[in-house]
Amino acid sequence: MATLSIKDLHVSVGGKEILKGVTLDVHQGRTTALVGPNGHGKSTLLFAIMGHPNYLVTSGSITLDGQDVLALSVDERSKLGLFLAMQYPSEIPGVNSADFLKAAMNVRRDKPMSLFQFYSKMQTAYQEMGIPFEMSARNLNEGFSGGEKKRNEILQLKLLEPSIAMLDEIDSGLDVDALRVVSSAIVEEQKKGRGFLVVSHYARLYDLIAPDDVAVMVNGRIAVTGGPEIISKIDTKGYEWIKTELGIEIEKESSVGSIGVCATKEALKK
Amino acid sequence: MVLLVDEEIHDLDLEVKTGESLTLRLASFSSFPSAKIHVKVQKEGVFDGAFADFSSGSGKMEIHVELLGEGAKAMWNFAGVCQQKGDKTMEASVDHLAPHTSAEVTQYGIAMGEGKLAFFGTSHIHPAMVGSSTAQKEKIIVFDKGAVGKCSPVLRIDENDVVASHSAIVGKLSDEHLFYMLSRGIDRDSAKRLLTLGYLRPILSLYEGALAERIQSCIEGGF
Repeated sequence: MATLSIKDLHVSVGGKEILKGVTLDVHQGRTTALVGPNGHGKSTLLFAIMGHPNYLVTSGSITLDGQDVLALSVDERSKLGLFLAMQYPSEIPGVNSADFLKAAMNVRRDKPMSLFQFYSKMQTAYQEMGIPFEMSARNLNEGFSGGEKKRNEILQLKLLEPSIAMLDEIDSGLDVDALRVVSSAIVEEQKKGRGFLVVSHYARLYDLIAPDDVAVMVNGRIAVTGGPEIISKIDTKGYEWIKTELGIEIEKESSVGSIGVCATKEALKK
Repeated sequence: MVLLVDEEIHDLDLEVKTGESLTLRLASFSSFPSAKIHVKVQKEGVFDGAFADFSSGSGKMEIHVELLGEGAKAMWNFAGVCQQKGDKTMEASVDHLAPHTSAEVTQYGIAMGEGKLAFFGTSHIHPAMVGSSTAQKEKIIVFDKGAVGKCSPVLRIDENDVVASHSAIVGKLSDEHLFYMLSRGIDRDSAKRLLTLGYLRPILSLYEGALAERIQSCIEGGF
């Protein structure tokens, strides 16, 4: 079982340090919930792990099953077994969804799949995610609604079969039915032994996917780790107890209910 | 159907007679043809032209269609690539000289390396040509820093009772798009290849047989 191991990770964006020494292990076969107030670096951690060029790792290490992730390019990290479902997936005009999926599935195989094999896998995944199969002929994410884009992210997860999947607010913008479809698909992938690192602000998603571990990110560090009871505590008490129980001053006030704030955007404003 | 490949493409004067139709298919793989093609379309005639270009080199290709009779129609489709130090201009113009005429011009291209690709053309609906419709759609994607793309579809409309549209897009492969594709394991070259497929493949449906296969292998195999 692979382990994604992050040690004393420092990450800067636009010259501003966002992550100030993150240490966290995510295990294949387990689901880790990453929670914390808005703007404290949760998405930054996910993008830094995946290798987005705007996120500069200044010190620390990331390994997957002992392999140095930081030494790899973005596409190599994906082939190694990492996957990032994004909060705002890019719309890519000119790139056909089916062509894109086929290319992404074939890069991790020694021999390209047969057309029959590809179409039957794709058809099953579209059906399971409740996405009309005709959408595979459309340009990638172009003109998709917010919910369709999120389903499409999970559809890719199912087809690419990563060992560790990172989900960045996969539940934002989903209606009740779509949330049920997405969470059921995550549960199914959990059963297949995939590891998950899941960022969400809402206990509703965590109720449905039942994380094994919880890590709370505050001020660019993991302030506390534990079991699912932490989520219930945050859901009822907010983050105030971090200060009263752990003596950690939360640097910025969280804007409750806002899903658009992230540490990177805030840093770039300054 | 008139089918011309590489050196066979030269200056042409064509006429589509009343009620008849003409299909012109051009394809170049060696060097870009600098040719002028003039097409006259009479009453209820239909001109359907397409040009798939994967050649190297530089030049200017012009196509000028005159819709002379009521109900005349014209379609022009171009898809091509300009690479290395090539400098290509594709100019497609239509004159609506009779009422109830229609024209659609679609030109898609990719500029890479230090290639310069330009699309020009004027669609002119002349006075009193009521009920006519004209559309121009031009798109170029620029892959590399040294490459240049220019689109300039011009409309001249001298009659009110018409439908006219034009669009021009020159885009580059954005960093966010690239990151998204890389994050799925697709390397930079394959990402470009996928965009190429999306831009150029639609023209395949206009070709048949061995030539269609040759164009397909150019699009999928990297020109």
